[in-house]
Amino acid sequence: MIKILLADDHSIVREGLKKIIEESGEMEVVAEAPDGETAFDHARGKKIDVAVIDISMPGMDGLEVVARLKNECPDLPVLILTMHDEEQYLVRAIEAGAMGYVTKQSAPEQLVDAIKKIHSGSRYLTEKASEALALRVIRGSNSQTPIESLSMRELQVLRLLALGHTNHEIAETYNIGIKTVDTYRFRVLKKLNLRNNAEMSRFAIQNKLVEV
Amino acid sequence: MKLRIIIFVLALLAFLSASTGGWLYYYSFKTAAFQKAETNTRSRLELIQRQLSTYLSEHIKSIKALTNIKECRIALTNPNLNSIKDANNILDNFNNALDIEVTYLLDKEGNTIASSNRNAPDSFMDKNFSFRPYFKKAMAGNSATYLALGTTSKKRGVYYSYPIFDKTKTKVLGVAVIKTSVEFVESSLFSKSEGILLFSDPNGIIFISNKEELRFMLLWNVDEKEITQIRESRQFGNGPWIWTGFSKSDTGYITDRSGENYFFSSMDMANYPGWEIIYLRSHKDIDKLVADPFIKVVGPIVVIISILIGIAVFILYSKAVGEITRRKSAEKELRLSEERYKHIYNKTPVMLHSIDTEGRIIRVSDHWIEKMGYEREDVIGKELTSFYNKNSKKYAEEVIFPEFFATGFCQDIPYTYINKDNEEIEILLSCYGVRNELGEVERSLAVSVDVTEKNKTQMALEEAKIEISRYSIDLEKQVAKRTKELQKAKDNLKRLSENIMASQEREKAAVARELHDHLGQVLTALRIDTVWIKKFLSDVDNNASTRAEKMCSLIDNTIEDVRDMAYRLRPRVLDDLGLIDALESMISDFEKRSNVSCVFKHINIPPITETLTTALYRITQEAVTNALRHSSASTIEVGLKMEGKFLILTIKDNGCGFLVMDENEMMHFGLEGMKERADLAGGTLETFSTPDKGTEVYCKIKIDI
Repeated sequence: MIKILLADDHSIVREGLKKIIEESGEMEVVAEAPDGETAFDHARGKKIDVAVIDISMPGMDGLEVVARLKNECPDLPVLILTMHDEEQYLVRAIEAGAMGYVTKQSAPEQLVDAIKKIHSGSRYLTEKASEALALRVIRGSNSQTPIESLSMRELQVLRLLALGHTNHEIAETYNIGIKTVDTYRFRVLKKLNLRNNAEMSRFAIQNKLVEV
Repeated sequence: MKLRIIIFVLALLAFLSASTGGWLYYYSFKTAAFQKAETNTRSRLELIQRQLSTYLSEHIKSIKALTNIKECRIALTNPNLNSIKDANNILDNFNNALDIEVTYLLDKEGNTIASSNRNAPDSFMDKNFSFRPYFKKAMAGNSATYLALGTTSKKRGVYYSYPIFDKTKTKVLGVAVIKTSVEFVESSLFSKSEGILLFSDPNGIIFISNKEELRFMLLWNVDEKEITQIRESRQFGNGPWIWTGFSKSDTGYITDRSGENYFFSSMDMANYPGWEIIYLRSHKDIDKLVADPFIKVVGPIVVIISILIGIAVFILYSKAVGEITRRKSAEKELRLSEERYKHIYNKTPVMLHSIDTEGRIIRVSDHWIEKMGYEREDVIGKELTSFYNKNSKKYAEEVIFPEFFATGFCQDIPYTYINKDNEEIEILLSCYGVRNELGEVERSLAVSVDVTEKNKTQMALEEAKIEISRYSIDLEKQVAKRTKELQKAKDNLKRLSENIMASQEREKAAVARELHDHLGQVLTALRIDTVWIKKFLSDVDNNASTRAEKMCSLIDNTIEDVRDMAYRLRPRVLDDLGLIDALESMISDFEKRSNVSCVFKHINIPPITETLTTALYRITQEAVTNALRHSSASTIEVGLKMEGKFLILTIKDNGCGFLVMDENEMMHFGLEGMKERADLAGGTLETFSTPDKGTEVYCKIKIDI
C-alpha cells in the first residue's frame, strides 16, 4: 500500500480525492492537512510515500511546501494537485521540485496513475505540461536570439513542424484552424528569415528545439 | 580808435629806440674814429716834421764845404774874369753834384759875383741880396738858414748861407749861398696827406702847403702893423696876404669861415724858430670817412629792420583790429545774452530767485512774484528766509545755507514758502552757486518747483498703494487658500480615485476568489462524484451512465466558465506568482484567442508592490485589448525592462495606428484610463502613433529598488 499525504484546504474536495485514491485499492491516505504548515509537519513526522498537495492553501501555499520538502525530505515525491490549469503554476511547481502535476478537474481520471508513476520514481506530466516545460526551457536558453521574438504559439507551431507534424495534426493538437497554422508557419519563416520546412527543421535541431 | 593810437605810438617808440640804438652805436663808433684820427694826425705830423726838418737842414754842411774852396775866396779877394770863371765852374760843379736849384756867391756888399744860374733869364748875377737876413747873419760870421720867396726868381726857396773867410780865418770876405726849391716838399712830403698841411712862419704866413690856394695866405687874422712888417722884410714878396678865415674857437676847435670844425695839430721846427708845421683835418672829412662805410653796412640793416618793424606793426595792427572787432562783437553778444538772460530769467514761468552771500534776495522772476503775491520792490533786499515757514527757515539757516556756500550746489531741498495771503506753498528748491574770480560763491541761482499738488497726489497715491497692497495681500492669501483647497480636493479626488480603483480591484479579487475557491472547488468535488457515479453506472445502467457523463461534461463547461470569469475579474496568478507570470499568462491567453502573434519580453524585473503590479497589469491588458480590437496588427510586442531607477513598460503593435492628437480616439481607446493608472502609480504614460505605422504605448514609472 502506498502511503499518501493529502493536503487541501477544501474538505469536500479532499473527501472526493481521498475516495478516488482509496478506491484504487493500492494506496491509502495516511495523513490529511487543511493547510501548508500541517502538511509540512505531517510530511516530516509520518512515514509517507507520496505527498499530494494543493497549491492554493491558506498560510504556507503549496509551492512553498514543495520547496521546503525538497529541502527537508528530498526523497519524498510530491504531486501537485490544483484548480489552476495555467502553465505558469505547472512550471513553478516543477521548478520547486514537484514530480507531477494534476488538475483537480482531471483528478478522477489521472490522480491514481500519477501517484503510481511518481511513486515509481518517474515524473508525471501530461503532454501539454511537457510541452510547456520544453518551450520554457527553449526560451530560457535562447534569449537574445531570433527565437526570443517568437510568440509562444509560434514556438509551438515551429516545434511541431520541426518534429514532422502536418498542419492538420497541429491544428487538431491546439484546436485551431488549419489556415491559422499556416499563418503561424508563415510568420515563423519570416521572423527567422527561413524559406521552407526543411530549413525550419534544421534551425530547430541546431537550436535544440527538438530532441533528435 | 584808442588802441590804434597806442599801437602807433608803440611802433614809433620801437622805431625810435632802434634809431637811438643805431645812433648811439654810430656816435660811439664816430668818437672812436675821431680819437683814432687825432692820433693818426699827430703821428703823421711828427713823421712829416722830422722829414721836413731833415730836408730843411740838408745843405747846411754842403754850404760850409763850399766856403772852404779857395777859388771862392780868390774870386772874392781878387775878382777878375779868370777867378770869377773858376768860381763859376766850382759853383756849377757843386750845383750839379748836389742837385741844387742855384748856388751863388755874394761879396761883402751883398752883390752876386758868381752864380750857377748866371746864364738863366732870371740870373742872380749882379743882384744885391744884402737885405736878406741870411746875408747879414753870414756876414756876422754865422751859418744861416732862411725861407723866403725869391725876389728875382719869384720862387720859394730854402736859403743856406755861410761866410767865406780869408786865409787867416778872421775876416769875412763874402757869403756863399745855396738855394733849394721847396716844390719838392709839396710834391712829395705833403702831397700824400689828407686834410690840410701847412708850414707857416711866426706871423702865420703860409709858406708851404699841400693846398696851392693857401700859399702866402695868413693863417690867423693879424693887424695891419704886422702886415707892414711882413712887407718890409720882403721875405714873402709883395703880398697881399689874405686871411684864410681860420680862427680858434673857445672850445679849442679850429673853425673856418663857413664854421666848419677842424682838428688842429702843430709842431715847432728846429733851426727855424717860430715856424710851425700845422696839420688841419676837417671834422666833415673824418665824419665822411666814418659814415660812408657805416652807412654802407648799417644802412641796409636799418632799412631791413625798419621794414620788418613796419611789417610787424602792420600784422600786429591787423591782429589788433581783428581782436577789437571780435571783442566788440563778443561784447555785443554778451550784452544781448545778458539782456536775453534777464528776459529769460524774468519771463520763464518758474519760480527763480537769486540771493547774495548775506541770504538777501537780489533778483526774482516774474513767476516768483506772481506765485507769492508780492510786488518786486517788497522782495528785493529782503532775506529769503523771511518768506519761509518756521521749520524751513531753521533748516535753511542751520543746514542748507552753510552747505550751499561751501559746495555751491544743492538739489531738491524741500521748503515751505508763505505767500502774501499767508498760504503755505510746498516747493523743491535746486540751487546753483555763481562764483567770483576767487572761486567763492557770491550769489545763487535757485529754482523752486511748486510741489504742493504733487505732494498731495503723492500722498494719495501712497495711501492708494498701501490699500492696494493690502488688497493684494488679502487676494494672495485667498488665492493660496483656494489653491490649497483645490489641491486638497484634487488630492482627495486622486485618493478617491485610487481608493475606488483599489476597492474595485479588491472586489474583483474577492469575487474571483469566491468563484474560484468556492464555486470551483464545489464543482470539482461535484465532478469527482459524477465521474464516480458514471463509472459505477457504466456496468449497471448504460443510459444512466451516459446521463452522468453529460453531467460531467456540463460540470466541466461550468468549471471552465467559472475559471474564465474569475480570470477576467482578477487572475490568481497575479497574486500568487507575480506580474511576469501574470503577463505571460495573459499574453499567451490573448494569442490563443486571437491568432495574433503576441510576444512578451522581460529582463531583470525586481519585485514590485501590489499596487504597481496591478496598475501595470491593467495598463497592459487595456493596451493589448485595444491593439487586438482596433489595430488589425499581426504582431503585438509587450516589453518590460529597467532603465536605471525606472521601470519601462512598452506595448507595440504593427497595426494601422491613429492620430494621437484626436482626443475622441484617445478617449475611445481608453488611453485616459491608462494614463490615470500610470499617474496614480507615480509614473507617466505616453502614446506614440502614426497612421499605418503602428502604435506604441510607453509607460515609465520610478520605483524604489
